[in-house]
Amino acid sequence: MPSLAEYQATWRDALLTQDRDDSEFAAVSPALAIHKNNFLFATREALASVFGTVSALVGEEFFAAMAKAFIIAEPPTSPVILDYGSGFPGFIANFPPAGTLPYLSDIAVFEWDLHQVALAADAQALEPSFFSAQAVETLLSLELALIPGARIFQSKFAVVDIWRAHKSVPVDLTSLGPIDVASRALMVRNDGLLSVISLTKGEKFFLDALNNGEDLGTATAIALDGDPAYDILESNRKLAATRCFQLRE
Amino acid sequence: MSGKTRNYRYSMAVVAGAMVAGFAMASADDVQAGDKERCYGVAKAGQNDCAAGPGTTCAGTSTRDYQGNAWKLVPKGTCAEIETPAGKGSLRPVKR
Amino acid sequence: MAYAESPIGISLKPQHYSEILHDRPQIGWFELHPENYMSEGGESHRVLSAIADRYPLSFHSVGLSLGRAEGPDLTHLERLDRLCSDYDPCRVSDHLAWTSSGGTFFNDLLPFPYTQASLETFCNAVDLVQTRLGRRILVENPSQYAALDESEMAESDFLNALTRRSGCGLLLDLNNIYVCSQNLGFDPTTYLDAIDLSQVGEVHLAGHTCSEWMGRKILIDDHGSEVCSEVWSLFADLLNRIGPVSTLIEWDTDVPSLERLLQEAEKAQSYVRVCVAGGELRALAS
Repeated sequence: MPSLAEYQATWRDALLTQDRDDSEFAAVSPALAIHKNNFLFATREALASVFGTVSALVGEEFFAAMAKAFIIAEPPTSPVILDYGSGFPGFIANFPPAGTLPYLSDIAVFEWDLHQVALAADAQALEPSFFSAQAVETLLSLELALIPGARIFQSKFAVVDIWRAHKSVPVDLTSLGPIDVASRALMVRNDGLLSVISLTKGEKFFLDALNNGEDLGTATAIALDGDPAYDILESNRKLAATRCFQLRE
Repeated sequence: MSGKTRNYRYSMAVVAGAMVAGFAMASADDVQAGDKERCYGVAKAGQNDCAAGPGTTCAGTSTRDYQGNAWKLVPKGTCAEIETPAGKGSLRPVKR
Repeated sequence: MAYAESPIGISLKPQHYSEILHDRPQIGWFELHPENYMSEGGESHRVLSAIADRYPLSFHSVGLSLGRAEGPDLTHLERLDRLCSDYDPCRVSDHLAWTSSGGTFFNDLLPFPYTQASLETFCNAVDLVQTRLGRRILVENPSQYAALDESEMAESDFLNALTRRSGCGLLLDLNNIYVCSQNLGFDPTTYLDAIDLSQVGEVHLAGHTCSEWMGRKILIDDHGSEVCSEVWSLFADLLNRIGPVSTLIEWDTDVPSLERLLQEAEKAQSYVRVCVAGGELRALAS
């Protein structure tokens, strides 16, 4: 009679084996095949609910097979299944059958980021009125950080447009422009709403600089340096309104 | 981060003026050029539950976990409709 | 377990959040998997706080892995303890199962053989959890798809020994009893005869599906449909034996409208009303 530890080790190995048919499971335990199905199904469903656009792009059958390969390769390590899937974008990037869709991994990064933004710690963001109340000197030396529920996204593909196009029911891709065009976006959660705001090149430079600890004046100069078309006036109006900032500690 | 020695091509006075003007116009009621969605939809994502998977039904419809070989599969979803520089669907020829 | 009001609860599902907050339905309590609220922040916490202000909450964990050889997941226990401090649930439960081992979470309630050694392990796990949480927990009987050859004792004997030794209570899932009775071949009422019903702190009612595996017909606890008539009969039988008890309508797959869920809860409530009125319950015509 195996000890409990040995018994569970046998099950672990069987549950994490890529392909076995039912008769092989039956040799270990008739229940094992059903539990393996439960494990893979529930975990794949969890991935599908986070990576909905990835699933729509490749179709259910392909997604199921890709998810299964990922689950076996990098199974969940925590019972908090909300936290599962951070490795999926990287797995997709190296999954040969998905090689025809080089943008797929970036779509997964986008969806994972959005999921993180939805679950991030709550924080009080600076209101637009905070900025308009500051003196010029104060503004220039202001050190800002993104709130936990805000993230910057970037891809060399039109990821944001692809994601947006998949939010319509039924999915309408007719208005989708060229796919090999870079996209940049700010994701931010405020008051139960998730916003995805497209960013110009300069705005991306600006936010990255702030994130790197630069003050507002320096970050603005860096944005102008990187993108001569950077419109300070318009961008400040737009970014302050998103309520994505907090004061750096 | 004050006391930076790096020189930027722009006058800080111009930068400061535009910054102040931009912030002065900012309002939380601004219609943002972004998509919004209720977090409820996202809250559903990836939840634990204690229900078993559906298994095969006795009527014979298989809803089992897909057991096929992933390596033989080609993507079949909406990606096929996307126009790319290399034609519809993929950006790269399939490597075999 | 005095219930002047409603002992019937339903599963809390995100698709019903706004309706619950807006309509404030008449229901005794809500049950949720604490794992789904173990994020740093977000909308689910705001909603749960608002719901906790108006309804009792029951925490039904799937993550402690009480039945594993290496002992329960202590990191998870800490998370659970924190969430209990935040929301003060009226009950906390987990399963007679293991869900993680060797660093992997299997996202399913896995069976283990009922032996003296596994009883020892399980009692220690429950003891540890109850000490850390500072409260009694309930342990739920699982669905079984096939008998495990390695088992030395019946599940009911295992559970009776567990409640006696660890002081934990039982979460009696009547659908699981029915599913087991069909898959393993026994009369479900004999399970009620065998188990120490004085330890029951909560009851689950759910639906199942019929599946075929390797040419065998097997019932699967997918919680994806209404409660079947046989399980309602078991519920009537149980109420006749122990009186009103906190009872959950559990519906996790193909989640119906809140209205439909509340209808199912009302049906359970009608059983309880007859029971409270002193009536002998037969399965009410459905």
